[in-house]
Amino acid sequence: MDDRTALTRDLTDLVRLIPGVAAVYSSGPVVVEAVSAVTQVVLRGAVAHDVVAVAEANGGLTVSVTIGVSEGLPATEVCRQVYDAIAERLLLGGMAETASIAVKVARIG
Amino acid sequence: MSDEIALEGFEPADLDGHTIDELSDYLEAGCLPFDPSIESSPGCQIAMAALIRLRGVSLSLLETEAIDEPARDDSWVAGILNRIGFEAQAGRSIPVSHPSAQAFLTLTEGAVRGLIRAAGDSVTGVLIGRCRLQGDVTVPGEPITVLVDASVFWGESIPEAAARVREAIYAELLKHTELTIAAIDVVIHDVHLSRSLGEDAAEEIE
Repeated sequence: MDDRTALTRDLTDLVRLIPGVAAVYSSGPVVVEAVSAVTQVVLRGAVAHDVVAVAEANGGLTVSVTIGVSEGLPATEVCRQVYDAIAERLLLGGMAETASIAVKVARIG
Repeated sequence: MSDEIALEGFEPADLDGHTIDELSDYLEAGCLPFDPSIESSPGCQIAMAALIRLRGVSLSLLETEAIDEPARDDSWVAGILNRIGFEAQAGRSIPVSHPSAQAFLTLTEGAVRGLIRAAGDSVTGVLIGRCRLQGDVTVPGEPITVLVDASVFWGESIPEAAARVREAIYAELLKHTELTIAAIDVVIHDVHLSRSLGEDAAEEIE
């Protein structure tokens, strides 16, 4: 497993544990990734493929994640907490050169 | 923008490759066999949640209507199905504030429309037909008007039902978004019979 894959999985696990996060969705086209998802379903018994996207850009690392938020907590607050958690994890991992972290809420409730 | 214009670019397959009919069939089959492309699509999940609520209401209505008017036109259900599919698409990005310059936080318009529809459907005796966000939701602080069409069950006070829908939607938007809501316009465009009213009410409405 290379560093990028390990970071993607680490961030995906991190986001899933944040209160109010009900789902973490793929940031890419769902249909294209369906085959990969099927493999993961067999292996893990759930849709649990790595879904936080990490890429290198000129200004540093870019991270993007799409989430579903439960009804109980304000979606805006959960969105900010996801950003803060990712930013903190990258900082602790010595990855201070972060160009952007995009968090998209695609479902509420 | 009129509905006709808004719907021009909509293809039923825009729900991450699925149609409303496919999602309805998937629900009917108890979500089996497990379809990861549906389960991992927020648009499909929003649409299925709305389909489940619609199914509960329409079954109740159709059972009642079957007593007195078996040939009644149910095109209103088809209309709502079409709207559910359209509204569940991601649409525009609605910004969420954060002090960091590296933060790009957004809610999808589809998520917010799903929230509005669920809030309206939660009001007893009301079924949301369609909802729209009028105004530039991509600009923070821009005044936004929420436009909602709804049906009520026979016997409900229309002004009171509209007020309850407005309150429910406003509470959810206040809780989950940073939108500046200028108005919530609720139009009640239809009245349906509900199962609990029985034959007397059906005869009265005839």
